[in-house]
Amino acid sequence: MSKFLKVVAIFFIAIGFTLPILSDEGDIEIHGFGSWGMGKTWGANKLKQKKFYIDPTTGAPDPVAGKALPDEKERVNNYQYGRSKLDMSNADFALNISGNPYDNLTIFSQIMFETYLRDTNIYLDYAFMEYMINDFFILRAGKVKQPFGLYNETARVGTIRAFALLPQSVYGNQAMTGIAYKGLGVAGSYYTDSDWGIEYNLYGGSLLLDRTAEYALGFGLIDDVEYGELEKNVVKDYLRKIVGAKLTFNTPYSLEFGLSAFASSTDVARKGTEYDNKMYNLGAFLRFSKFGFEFSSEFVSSRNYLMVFDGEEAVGKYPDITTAFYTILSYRLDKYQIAFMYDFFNYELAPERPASIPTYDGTMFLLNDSKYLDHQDIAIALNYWVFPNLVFKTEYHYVKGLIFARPNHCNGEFYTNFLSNKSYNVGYETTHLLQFIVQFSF
Amino acid sequence: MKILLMILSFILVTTVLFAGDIKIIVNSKNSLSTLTKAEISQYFLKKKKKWNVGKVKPIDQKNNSSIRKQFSKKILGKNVSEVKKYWMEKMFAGRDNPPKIKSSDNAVIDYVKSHKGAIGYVSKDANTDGVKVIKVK
Repeated sequence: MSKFLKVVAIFFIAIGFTLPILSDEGDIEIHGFGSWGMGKTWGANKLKQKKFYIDPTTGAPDPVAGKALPDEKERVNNYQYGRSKLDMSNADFALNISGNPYDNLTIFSQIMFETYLRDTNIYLDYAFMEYMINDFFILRAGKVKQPFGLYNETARVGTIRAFALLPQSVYGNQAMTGIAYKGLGVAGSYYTDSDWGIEYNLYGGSLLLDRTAEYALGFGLIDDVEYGELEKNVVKDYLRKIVGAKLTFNTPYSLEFGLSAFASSTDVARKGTEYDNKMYNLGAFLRFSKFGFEFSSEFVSSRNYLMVFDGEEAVGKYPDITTAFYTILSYRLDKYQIAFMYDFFNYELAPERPASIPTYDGTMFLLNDSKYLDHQDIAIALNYWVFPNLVFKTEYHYVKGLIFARPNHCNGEFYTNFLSNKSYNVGYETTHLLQFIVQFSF
Repeated sequence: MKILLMILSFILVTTVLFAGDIKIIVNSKNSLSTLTKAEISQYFLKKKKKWNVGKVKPIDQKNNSSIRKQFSKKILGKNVSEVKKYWMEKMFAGRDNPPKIKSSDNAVIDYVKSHKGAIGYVSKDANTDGVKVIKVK
């Protein structure tokens, strides 16, 4: 029996045992959502790497005795559901179960099944208990989706928004937001009789988030990236100590806005010693939705204070600063919807901290100088909503930058060579994407 | 005289208001007799989760029923699709679940009768004996 089937079997057996217990005194709710998508990328986003030789023992360039690198063919970037060759293997499904054994106690859980680039992953998205004292004070404990911005808690749900995937700047894998915290939280709301309202969340614990593979390589979270792994671009990481908050203001005029923030310590091992780095993220969000129109916009800034080394010696902490912004405008008339998006991301490395990733020609590639650390995505979507729970989406994206659009089939060294745009590479930074997605929920 | 007093007391505790073709009903143990549209909306959307009889338990009608469409538009100020989207955001975030759905006026009335914190809506012609009809301000 495959690992996938085993996990599914255990999960449903657990549900079978749980349902009768909870049904005695309370209610069980089962919901779910999923998607399937395919896409094609094209354009001048190809890489031709000339034949290149390195000494397999020293890693130094050696055109005489060295071994030829295997990467000579043209490369086209992957982005969201798109590949250079149409790939139809991307699908995900989430099963959401909640139980309400007592009036004031609710258990929420969600498990994700996903296939991406032919790999299948199953994981617990969240599982926590919520104890309500009153509207203004609700206690939460367990693994909880991180309350941040407009969509972080519903990042994978396609039937609540116009575009199939969320803007990469804020919700991509650059750690602008986390995925879920493990710990304790309090939440609550207060609404006046005229429907003005305020909602808050406070939480603390550890935070699971996605990192780019080159970040993880650069800071020793992982030793190496397998050939082909980097195109997935994701390494799971934990911030061991975080505190966070989100504050939302609701108006009776279909307008909501607010702030989210979190601060953390990250213990990064480097040269045998753990260094306590700091990370501070602050975001602002706004959404207006009325008469079929929806306007949403978010801004997030992150400062990641990392230890800088001079040789073997740690000399101080300096911040990498990342900035993300997007705006989406959509209009829906009955079953038809049109939407536009502008998405922007900028990664500014601390000038004091040169990138530590060597290239094949023996020099150090300074990511600081790279225009490839920027990202812009201009997109249009045309959607057909069969029901509120079933939508067909067709999207076109014009993408500049290579921080979220990734060269196909590459490892860490290949990617840094690509970024460095050395003489033996011809890298382009534009990606065109056309994708078609079906998304549903129940 | 006894009958007259019974009728008067019944009128005092059950003031009927027609929000178009809709009656808002609560359990007979609930001391509330009037609510604003905004308050009803807050209870149905679970923005307010507790009231004088403990936890609020809103009960909805079928998605494609005409009474649900009327209720969504007149009381919640949204169409049914927008309300469904609102609940998708809540339930997949692990915030709350949408109200339970009943398939008829009678099923809603039965639920409201048997749950102290319940609030529901039925058509104006429904027989609401045993539940309290709320006046909408």
